[in-house]
Amino acid sequence: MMSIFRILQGFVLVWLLCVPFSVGAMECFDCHDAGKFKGEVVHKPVAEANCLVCHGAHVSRFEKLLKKKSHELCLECHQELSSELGGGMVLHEPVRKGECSSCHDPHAAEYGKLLSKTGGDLCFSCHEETHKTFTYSHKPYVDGDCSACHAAHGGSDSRLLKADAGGLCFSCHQDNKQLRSKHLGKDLSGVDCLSCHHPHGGESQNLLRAFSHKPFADKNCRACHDGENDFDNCLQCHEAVLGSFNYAHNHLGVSGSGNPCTSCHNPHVGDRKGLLPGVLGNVCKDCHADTFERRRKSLHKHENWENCNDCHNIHGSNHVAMLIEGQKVCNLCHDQHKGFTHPIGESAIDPRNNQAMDCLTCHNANDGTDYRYYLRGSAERGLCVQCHQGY
Amino acid sequence: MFSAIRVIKGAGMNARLKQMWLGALAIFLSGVFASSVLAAGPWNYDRQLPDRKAGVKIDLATALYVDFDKQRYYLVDAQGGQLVSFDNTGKFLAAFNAGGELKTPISLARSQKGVLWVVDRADNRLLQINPRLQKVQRFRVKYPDGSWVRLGKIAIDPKNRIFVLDQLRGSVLELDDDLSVKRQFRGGEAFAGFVDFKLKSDGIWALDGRKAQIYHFDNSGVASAPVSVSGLEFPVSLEVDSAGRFYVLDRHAGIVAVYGPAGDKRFEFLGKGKRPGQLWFPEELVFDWDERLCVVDEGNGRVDILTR
Repeated sequence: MMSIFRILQGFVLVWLLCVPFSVGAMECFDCHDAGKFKGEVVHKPVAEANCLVCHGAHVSRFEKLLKKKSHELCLECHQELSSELGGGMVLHEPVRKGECSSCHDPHAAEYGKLLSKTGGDLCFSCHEETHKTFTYSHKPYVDGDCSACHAAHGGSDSRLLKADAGGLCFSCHQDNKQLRSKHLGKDLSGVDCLSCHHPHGGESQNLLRAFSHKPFADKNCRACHDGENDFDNCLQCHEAVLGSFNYAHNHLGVSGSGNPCTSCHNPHVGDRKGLLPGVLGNVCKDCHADTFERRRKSLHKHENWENCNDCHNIHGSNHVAMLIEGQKVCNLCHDQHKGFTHPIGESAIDPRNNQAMDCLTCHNANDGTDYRYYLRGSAERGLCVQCHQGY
Repeated sequence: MFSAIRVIKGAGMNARLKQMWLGALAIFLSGVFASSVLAAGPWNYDRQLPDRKAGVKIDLATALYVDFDKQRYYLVDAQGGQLVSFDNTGKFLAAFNAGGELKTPISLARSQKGVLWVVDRADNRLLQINPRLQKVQRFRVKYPDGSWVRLGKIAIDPKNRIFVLDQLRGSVLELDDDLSVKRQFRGGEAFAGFVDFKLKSDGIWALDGRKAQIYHFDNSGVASAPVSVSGLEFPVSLEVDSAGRFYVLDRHAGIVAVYGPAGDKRFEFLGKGKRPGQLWFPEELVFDWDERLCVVDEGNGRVDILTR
């Protein structure tokens, strides 16, 4: 009896191994409308009607009966990408999440590389905030040719540039006498063009960033360049700012031996008042990479989290984490929660450390968390039992 | 002139008994949790300053000075503008604000003669406080070219020489008797600025936080090649034990990482949290007279003391 069972088992096994190959190209389109798999560009396995390269015919642990997680499957054939994306590169978010199909249609598409939309239309469908109208625009930007400058899969920094800023620009713009004459005759090799020029567009023909330092706008270079590039150089005009650093925590020590001001502020031009970049977080992450990395991994994050100065006193503060007004910082925006919340303040002492509770006791607005409202634990139980142990 | 503040708690007998029970329960549960947290390393949670029952509130614990002679701890509260002292058992002694002269103290050291030197960030001055004479003097510290030193941490060696950290330039400075800069200790080419330093019998040990490198300057001021330490998010403080091991405090990760003299990582302990034995934006590491490790924890408003 037992041996008959074993023979039957063997037959089933052989059938399972053989059937997928025999199905191969054949009969998928008997059920699945072949018209949906057509386009200007067709993925090679689809063109060859070889569906089983990617899909299992019977069962799978993965969605759409895929044989593997989608990105693992893609990289099986597109092996060149594995080496391209290694070595500590900053990956484009869909690539990092393994969501190749966010941009590429795995079956067929109207555009090259199986892209579902062309150029800017595809990029701006996610990067909506980047889609702006400028008086003067950089040609690749207005043409929607994002990939002229950006590498779609990953780059050496969060901008996903194809090369370092200066090198990238000179791949189109000639470093010639005419260009140098506009830059005081300086040698422009190694210059970071993007520190002054906005690569998408601007209100001036030379695409300079919107806010200029007065001496720069007045072409009075010697106002700053006559002395050392140090803190005192800036204090010559901005002495009043000195008091903003006289706190237990401050950002004076950010530059080692250099000028702490120019670690954050561009001494020539910026995207916003204070000669700062449009996204302030781009400055902060140079030193606080760990915070940005934790935040990146969090499911729920505070909105506008890259505007660090909404909550932090960037020059100095007498509060933990350089918060504005310490624990009261949340009330600056969330005023309605003052009177409708779990008790906070001196009347609600956290039993873990004998400190007054505040919004940040339960919410992690800085890093974000995997829980709604960036709570530090599940609101059903995990968070509350930290203090209410009898609950 | 000076005001010493002692905290006296007034409460009814029943309320006090209830508080004691709740306190004991909380401490027991915390202890159980803390011991499990600390089980990974050879360090054990001993006690905290101030004791939970002392009724002392610390607003922003930024530094701890350990008086090896008198076996006392002095905790610097920057936001509260006070220095808080404890005896060798951790018992609260007094809170002291130098007659209101302390605004934003961030670091403290005591000379052999019993004079206190305090860095006050509110006006970037060095305060000389003579408790015996009840006298406070405020000084600017300058470079020979007349530019001000932006004062960070302070330490005094057994020869009564004052060392301060220049927060702006990231250098450790030795001051002369006129509080002028006598010697500067800096890192090499890739130097990003010291965030902490400790004076030991074999010289100065200093931590370059951003580069995660530890420098040593011997007693004649000669620097050795820096030792790199890895696996840290935001290193802010350094200690060196008698065996030459480095203890580096990671403010964001809430851990203490231990390295061998060559920078080889041995282990790490503690972790982020609010219970005793956990850290919430810690600021400084200091060994006391028995080489117990004291961790100044700003976010939790206390000092955790650990023993081996």
